[in-house]
Amino acid sequence: MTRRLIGCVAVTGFLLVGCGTEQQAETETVPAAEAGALPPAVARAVAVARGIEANPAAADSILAAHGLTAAGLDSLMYTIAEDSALAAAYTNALR
Amino acid sequence: MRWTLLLAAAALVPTAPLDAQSQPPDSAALAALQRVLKLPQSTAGAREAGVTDSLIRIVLREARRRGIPAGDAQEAVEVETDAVNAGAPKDNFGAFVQAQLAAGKRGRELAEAIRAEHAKQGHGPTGAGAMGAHEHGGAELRGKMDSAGRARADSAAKGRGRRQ
Repeated sequence: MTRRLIGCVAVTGFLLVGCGTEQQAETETVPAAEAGALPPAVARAVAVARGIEANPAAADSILAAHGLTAAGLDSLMYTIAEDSALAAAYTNALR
Repeated sequence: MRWTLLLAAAALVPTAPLDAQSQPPDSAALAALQRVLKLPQSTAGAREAGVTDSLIRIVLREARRRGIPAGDAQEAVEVETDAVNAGAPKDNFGAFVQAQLAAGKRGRELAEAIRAEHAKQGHGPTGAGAMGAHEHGGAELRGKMDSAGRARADSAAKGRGRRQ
């Protein structure tokens, strides 16, 4: 009984650590120094773009990790594209 | 035994939503997503090509107002920028796009219509046509545009007249 209990706790811990690592990999795509230099909207969009470029199969979970829906991403990208400074910052960050 | 089953169940619960989230998007959905992410780069390209900021904003705001997906707007801006780079007048940027949006065109149909128009005017990949044809086409389009678009097109036409 005790052995089973220990085994289950170990499996639970392993799964939780695994999930945490995946989440971290999806959200930490813009280095902190660079993110600080970029306007927040641009930093968010750059993180999403880099995340999806690195792992296209995880696009939905990358959007979710950044608190975005497809409609939310549309709105964010329109906002950046309309502003010449934001569009230039986004373009340069992804070069 | 009951504890064991409960712990095993608890361990399995978080994996279900993650599996659901990690469903890879199909290639068409991914391509659409990539177009959305490219919209700021396309508008930056249009600005680099010499299109004024105000014209770009007019096109984007019109597209947004009509509920056009950002990916479709990206494609339209890219085709328009290609045409400007091929010699189309910068101050006419987006006039045809607005006319097509007003006519209800979306997605692939919108991009194809823009490409066909620029090819007809001699700014597309085929290289056929002449500037005179562009002016004629502009007059035709102005007739189809909504009132806001018509006002902008008229203003652009007057500007061209002053320079000639």
